[in-house]
Amino acid sequence: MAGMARRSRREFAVSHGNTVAFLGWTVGVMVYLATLAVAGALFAQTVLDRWSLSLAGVVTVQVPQASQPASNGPLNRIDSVTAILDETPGVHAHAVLENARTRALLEPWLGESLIAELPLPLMIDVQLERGAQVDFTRLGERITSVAPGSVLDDHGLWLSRVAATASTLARGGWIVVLLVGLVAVISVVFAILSGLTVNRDIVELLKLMGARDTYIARRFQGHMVGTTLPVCGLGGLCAIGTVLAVTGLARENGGRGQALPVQLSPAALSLLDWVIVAAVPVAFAILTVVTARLAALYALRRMS
Amino acid sequence: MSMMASDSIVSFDNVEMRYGDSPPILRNVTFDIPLGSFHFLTGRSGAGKSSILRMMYLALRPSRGQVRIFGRDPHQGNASNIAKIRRRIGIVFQDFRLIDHLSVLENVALPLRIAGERESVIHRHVSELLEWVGLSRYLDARPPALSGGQQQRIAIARAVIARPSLLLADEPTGNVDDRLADRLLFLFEELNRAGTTVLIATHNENMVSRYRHPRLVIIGEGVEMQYSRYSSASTVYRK
Repeated sequence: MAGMARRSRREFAVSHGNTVAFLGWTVGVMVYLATLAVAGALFAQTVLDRWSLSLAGVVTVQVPQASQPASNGPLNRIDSVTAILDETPGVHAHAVLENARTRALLEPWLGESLIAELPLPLMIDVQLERGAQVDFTRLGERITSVAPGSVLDDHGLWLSRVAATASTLARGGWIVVLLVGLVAVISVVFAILSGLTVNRDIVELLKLMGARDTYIARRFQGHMVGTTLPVCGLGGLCAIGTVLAVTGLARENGGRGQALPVQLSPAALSLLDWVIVAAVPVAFAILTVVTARLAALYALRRMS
Repeated sequence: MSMMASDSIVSFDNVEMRYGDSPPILRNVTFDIPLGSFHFLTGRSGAGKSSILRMMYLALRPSRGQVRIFGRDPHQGNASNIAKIRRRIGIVFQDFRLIDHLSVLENVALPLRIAGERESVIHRHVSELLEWVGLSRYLDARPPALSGGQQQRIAIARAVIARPSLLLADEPTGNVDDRLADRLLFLFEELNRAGTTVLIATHNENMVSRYRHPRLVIIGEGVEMQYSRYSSASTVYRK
């Protein structure tokens, strides 16, 4: 009996085999791309949020080495700067970054020999109190008055650039999803119209037997479920696998003995993000099925 | 000319049918088919029998005049009403119109599925009917694997499976021998006795002469109802 129920959806099954196979592959690839795009968009947004969070309340003071040793040499300049920081309201703590530590941080990027030749500035990490309103312009002027050439970096410019890039990436990801969804809809519409044309005789026969448009559309819809549900699932799984593989690869290569920053690991995505990523194939399956029904109903009304 | 009886299941009133800009193939066709009757529709090939049937099962709209089915003009309602009327009509097509990739059982089950019948009921009814028409061994066969006569029986089984109020058959015995033709006519008569109005279009004079049912005859200049149980025979002209 169950076999008959399954067979009941097959009025249109055989005749448009090639169209359906093509549609299956198309939707599968679309789902793969859309899922990747959504994961990318969420990843970019998450990275930005985490970096913003980790840099919030932190400023850096770069104190260049004095061109000529003097009574107010670098160490004295540092002492003067830290004295200013001590008396500035809103500064919670500060720490001078050892020169050796600065060199170690830059060495992978600039190389050992170049680092040895460069006059690296001394860095002071400054932690602000939560919610502190510090006048950075005034503080910068005070610091440069005792240590000319010093730079007070509140990371605002860098963060704004990163934010702009991440926002563009995220927006681009969503635009890709929209475009891919649009192409999927168009593909389904053409497949349905083609299926109705190929099966015109059967459609007319069913109508003469009293089938409503909704009955025939439901057949196409059921057929679409059977075709697209597996490929949507497969496309989504492949995309999630790709995300995990790429982040795994980044961890392996970027790591080389060092732990990958949390921002670049799959753990960077929250549970909600993963739910959204997993919802993409489901959304595409629903989209294709609803599109199939509406396209079939529209075409059937025009055939009447 | 038309009786327009209140118990007519089909009424043609001054119906004209033409395809495109060509001259009309039927003109001023007026007749009634009473509820519960059994008629033959005869006439030479090309006389317009199939066109009359197609107007009855709402595949064609008359170019002029009015066709009433079950007492009302089906084209006045919406698509849903037309579908509802069609579900009360069983059709045996001259070219069978079976769906080749469906099994015999699935083909015959289609009207019941469209009517939303339960699968258990469908399976039981279809199996019984296919046994009656001698095709119980071919439930899972595909129509192309069967003979013309067997396909015709499938088409008939499909037309009657939902116990239609009106059965329209276009040359339903064209591909079967006399013995099976009689058996199928017996089935139609059984349905008729159960309340189904039957109209069979055929050019098989031999078969028509063996059964005492009124007939609509399309002659050169018109359609004439013979052996009518009703007082006035209808005559309508096709030119």
